[in-house]
Amino acid sequence: MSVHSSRRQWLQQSSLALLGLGISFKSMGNEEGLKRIAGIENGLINLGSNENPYGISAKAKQAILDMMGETNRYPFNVASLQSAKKTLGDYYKVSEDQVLITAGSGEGLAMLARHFNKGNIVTADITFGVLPNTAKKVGTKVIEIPLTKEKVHDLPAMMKAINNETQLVYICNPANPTATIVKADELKRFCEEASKKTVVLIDEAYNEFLDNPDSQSMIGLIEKNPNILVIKTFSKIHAMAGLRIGFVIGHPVLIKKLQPDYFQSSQLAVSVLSLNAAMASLDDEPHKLMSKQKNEAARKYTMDEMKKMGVQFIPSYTNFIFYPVKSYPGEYSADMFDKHKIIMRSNKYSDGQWARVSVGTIDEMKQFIKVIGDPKNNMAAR
Amino acid sequence: MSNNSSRRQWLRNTTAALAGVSLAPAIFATEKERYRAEGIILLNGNENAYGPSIAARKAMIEAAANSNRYPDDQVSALKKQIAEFWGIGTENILFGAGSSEFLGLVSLLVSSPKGKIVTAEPSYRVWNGQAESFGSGFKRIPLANDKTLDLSAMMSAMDDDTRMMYVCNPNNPTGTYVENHLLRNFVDECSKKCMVLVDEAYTEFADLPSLKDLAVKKPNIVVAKTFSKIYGLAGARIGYVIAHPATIKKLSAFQPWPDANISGVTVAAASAALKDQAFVKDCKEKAIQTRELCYKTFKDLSLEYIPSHANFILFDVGKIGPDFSKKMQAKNIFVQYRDHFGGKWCRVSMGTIDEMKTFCSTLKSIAS
Repeated sequence: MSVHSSRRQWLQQSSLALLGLGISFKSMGNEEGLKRIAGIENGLINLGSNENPYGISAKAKQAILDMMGETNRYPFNVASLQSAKKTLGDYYKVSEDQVLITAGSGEGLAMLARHFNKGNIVTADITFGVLPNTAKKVGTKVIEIPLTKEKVHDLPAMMKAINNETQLVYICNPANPTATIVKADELKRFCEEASKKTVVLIDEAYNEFLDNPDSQSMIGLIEKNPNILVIKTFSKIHAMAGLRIGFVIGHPVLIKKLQPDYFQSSQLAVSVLSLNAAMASLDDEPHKLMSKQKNEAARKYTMDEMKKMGVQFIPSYTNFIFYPVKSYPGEYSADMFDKHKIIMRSNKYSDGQWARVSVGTIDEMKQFIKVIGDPKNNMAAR
Repeated sequence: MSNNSSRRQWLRNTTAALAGVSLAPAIFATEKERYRAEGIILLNGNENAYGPSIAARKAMIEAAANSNRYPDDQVSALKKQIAEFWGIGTENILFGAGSSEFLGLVSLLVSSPKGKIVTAEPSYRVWNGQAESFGSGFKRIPLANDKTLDLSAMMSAMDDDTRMMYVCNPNNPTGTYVENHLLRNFVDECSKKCMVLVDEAYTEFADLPSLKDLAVKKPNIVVAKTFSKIYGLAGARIGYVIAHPATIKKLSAFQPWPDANISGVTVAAASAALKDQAFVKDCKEKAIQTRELCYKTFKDLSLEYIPSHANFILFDVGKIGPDFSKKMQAKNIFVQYRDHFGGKWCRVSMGTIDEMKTFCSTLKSIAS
């Protein structure tokens, strides 16, 4: 499932589908109208992109407004933003020369795929698509190691796959789209061992949805293992998917190597408004806790209801749930949108069709459960 | 709906979306911003001192509350708007975090097999280090006597090893330009042999037509545009390329997904800015006024300068002495100070009229 393909597909389909809903582009005025249409008040629910439905924090909004007058200035010309890397470094207990700020972690992953463009890259199959897909497009061999039956990264098999040509090993933990985790101590041992042979990249986009996220993070290993990189994002727990800001943490030597082929300076990659908002949100613990707790409650509700219905799913540690729809005859996500106005993902893998639903608000999840719980709909295909 | 009631309506809607925050700094702060140290005058980045426009600010405020959502649908709408603006197809456009993203990605595209990039000297070069990190070398061709691009010398510099031709017109840091028909023929000719990257960052200041019509037809021509200059949105990080769909596809392959790197707030700002052509016209006129103000001062001080068609001027500060830049900074004025043409030159960006009056009087006090 390519990350945004189903979203784009949704856009392509939406003109037809909206006609079906009795809404024409003409009555919407313009395409901006899509944004308004795609809201729960109009019956459409967006559970397709693992966004945080609770929005950015009040502090982040204020930071955007405060910085607005500086939007005519390049980031290097805004004095207060020069400490952004240090602020991030301080928060994660690393130095500022260990931080590379990118336009979302997506851009960080693409940048790393552009950089490590020789030999091969080892990833899981399936995993978050940006890094392996970009690697394939730039002509790098991607060695894809199947997940275990439980849809967990198969660390021993990945370790075995590393050879002399391997430039990078990529592990998304918690994993996307499967929502599983590998145990912190197992992952630590893997990182220490694998990083003797190759660069190990840990994608912690969903780390903050875990209990004790710090103890699950691999950032602490970097000091003694210069070949380990951790990539993080403000898109998820901080609810900033639209602001496009993420960052890579690594050893200063490796970060310095990446810097020249990335805008010369990552200070040119990210909007001043996004930077200011991210700095305001970074240590806004109440807002993060609110997002985490509400997500947990909505996730628990959804998983409990699915269990009651006898719908199989992979227990989730994130803000999305992965479940098999192997017996579903059509394209599951297309029908969820066309018939039930729910935007989500589905894809056919070697072991059949699976669906991924993001955890929205409790009201949105009630609607989701109502749809799959109605036998007439046949959306609870096992 | 009268102006007043629509303003009230907008405030009501916006305030509802942004409950608990203060709108004051976003709408009412203009010349003196709270994040800039008192009295600092930034004339070092060719930014637009009048940006962002009020229309862009309003659009950004409205968009801020949606920041938790990926802006895919707004990006599509902006692409359509820009396609209509230029009379091209949406398949000819790709967005990036400033045109600088594409100066990097086009460099990457031409880096295999390894070879050389032909560029003018001096010209815009912030991206050059990136191209070098991808393994490309540079052939730097001095400007002609009139400080414009020496197209025939640049053409002669091409050989089998040339992977890309870079032209910035009007050229940065000189502000000079070559006539459109000359550049057009040159670009067309070069594109038969290698990729041509046409940087149109400053065309609006000189009323130069875009070479977009060539770019959409020929896979070897890429036109880079930006919202950082006359549109006043350097900090929002948005630019785009206009190119043949096959080239767009190759460039987007380097991105996480096409157009991935621009913020939703930025998209809203760019859309409003593009519609606000009155602001663009006003900024262009202000650039002309401030340039005239500077020329007069340079003449008074007998400092050589290059007449500019952009929002900056390059002038010779050799006779002021090596600590020119330091002296300006001591007066809170930041400019670009570099070696050019075997001497020391200053590139001063056009600030507001008040800022440029301060710049001129400070220059007078330092130079005399």
